[in-house]
Amino acid sequence: MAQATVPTRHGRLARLRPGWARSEHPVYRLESGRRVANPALRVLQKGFLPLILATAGLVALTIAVLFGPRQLLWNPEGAVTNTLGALLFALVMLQAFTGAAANILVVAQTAPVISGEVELQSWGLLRTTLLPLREIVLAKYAAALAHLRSVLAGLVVLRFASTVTGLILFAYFLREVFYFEPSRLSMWLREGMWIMPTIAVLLFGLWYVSQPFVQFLLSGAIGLVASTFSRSRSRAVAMALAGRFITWVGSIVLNVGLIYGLVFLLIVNWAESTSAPLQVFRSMPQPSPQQVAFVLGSTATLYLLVVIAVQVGLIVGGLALAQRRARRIGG
Amino acid sequence: MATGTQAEPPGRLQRLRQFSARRMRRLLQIIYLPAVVLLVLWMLTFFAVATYRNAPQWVTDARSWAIGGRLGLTLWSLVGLQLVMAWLLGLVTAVGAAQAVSLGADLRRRFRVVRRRVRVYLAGLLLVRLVLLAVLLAGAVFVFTDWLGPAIDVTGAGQLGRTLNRRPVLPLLTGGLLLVQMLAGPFLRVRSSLALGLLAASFTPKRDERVWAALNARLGAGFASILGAVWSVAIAAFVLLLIYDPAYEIGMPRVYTYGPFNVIPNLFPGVPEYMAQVLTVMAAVSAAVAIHLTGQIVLPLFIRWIAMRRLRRQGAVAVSRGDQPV
Repeated sequence: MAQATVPTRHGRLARLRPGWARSEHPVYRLESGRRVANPALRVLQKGFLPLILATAGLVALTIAVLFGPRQLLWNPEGAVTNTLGALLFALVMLQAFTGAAANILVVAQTAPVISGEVELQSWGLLRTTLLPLREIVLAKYAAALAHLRSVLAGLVVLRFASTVTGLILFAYFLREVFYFEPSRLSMWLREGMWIMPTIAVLLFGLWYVSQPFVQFLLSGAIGLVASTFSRSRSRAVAMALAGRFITWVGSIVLNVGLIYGLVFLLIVNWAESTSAPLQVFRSMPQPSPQQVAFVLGSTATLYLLVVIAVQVGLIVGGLALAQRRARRIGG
Repeated sequence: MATGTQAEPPGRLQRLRQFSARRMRRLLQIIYLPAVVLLVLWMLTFFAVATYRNAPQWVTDARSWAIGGRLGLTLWSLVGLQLVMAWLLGLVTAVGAAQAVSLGADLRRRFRVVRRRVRVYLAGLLLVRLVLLAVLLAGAVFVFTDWLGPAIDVTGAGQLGRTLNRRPVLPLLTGGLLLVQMLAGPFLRVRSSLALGLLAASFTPKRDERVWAALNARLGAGFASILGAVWSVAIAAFVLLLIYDPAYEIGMPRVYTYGPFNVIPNLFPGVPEYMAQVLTVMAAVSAAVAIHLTGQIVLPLFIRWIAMRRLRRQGAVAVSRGDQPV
């Protein structure tokens, strides 16, 4: 019986990729071929997305059944906001767990790409080819990440679901804000108070949506850096996992500390100077609502821009460092 | 690196794996229905014998408390069980459809085989839904008649009974739609899962990846439909609130007594407030079930059309335009 096979199509997206991330590239092809042969990795790759979808579907159904109908008749607004809040919380938790699992997978996949070659003593052989070092390193990086596409897809699906849920919940929050004082809305619109907070919210949305991609690339870059710093696969994986964990914990501690500091200084002290806990702020005049909106919105925007710049910088810097280190590795 | 299994000739290994998978499938098909029947019987017996035995002191009518509690427990357990079974049916069907695309060009015949293979899962689901229906009927008999002893007292039963007497059309329409959904739902699920499996296969060039793609498509569609329902209700409620209750006003005319939705116009004037609330809920349930049914009927046609177009363009199936597989 004739077997139906669908020919592979190189779409427009494939043509947009750089040369080292295409299947025609010899190093990319070599690295991809190695990964195809690993059955455990295949199950992990293919099973990740169905597992995420099944868990998320089950969680969403449970929340919809438990939170929705109970209150819907006598308190529809509460029923909707409770359901959306619980759903958002569950999706964010799920994102955190699956994100951690995905990061471990990505790190474990990228850490052996160069250290494995060094261990097998084939790195020197690879360097004798006419391919530039930059292409070798990036092609290996791209091949390792390309095999975890379904993992990324799962994270993107969750992020999309939580973003839409969050936006609807945010709309309810705004309604609540303007419901009891409709004059606030006209003041916000008339005096341009909305501009900086809106920019900050949009930037936050952009940052939030881009995180699966950013974290994916960042974990890959950390794995690659660790790969160039050690001469065996196991040591590279251990080093990369430790590096990822330190980056993760460090970023949480730093962000929580900075946000707490900014909130304490700007909201607790400066915005409410008459009852400020710090003596310095009590002598200052009470800022107008316009000033508060502008300063808080601008600070949030600046903070988010710095966070985005640091994340992009870490990825680019990590890849540059990996290339630099790879140049020094012998045979 | 050659392992023990990799040393086997690939054709033989594949045959062995297929044989093992086929045997597992056969075994599952044989034990599935008896297992479902046993599970349902065990549940019914357990809930009837071992639950709600000692009424707490605050209960005035121990019989109503026990029967109402057991009925509720049985109802929710059966709802949960049939959800799991519907999930399984959808997954098995979608995977079968995706594998059928890989097996050959005559999709119509292949899909008939898939339908035959999932018959046992379909029968199991229908059985549980029929038991669910029987439990609901038993509940109605206990609540509204004295055929099995004095009628038991359940919250809201009196209101529902009075609403049925005064305005029977909408409750009957809701009941009819729910009945159609309960009985036709499994068949429609098979149909939609076949279409989803076909679509997933049309997007996946490699044969061994089609199973995963079908799983993703089926699970993704389920997740999307739940999210779609939650988001639709939330957005609809938000729009209604913006239209009818944009800002707080003291002394605004109120129709219902409770909650922030009390400013929404009464859809059923001329009946008491509780009756209007029951009828509003029934109208909402009818609309939701009607939308769901329409989606289950129309969407597979659209999905199948896209999938067949893609497969024909790729030359994967040699079916003519009139030869529709689903």
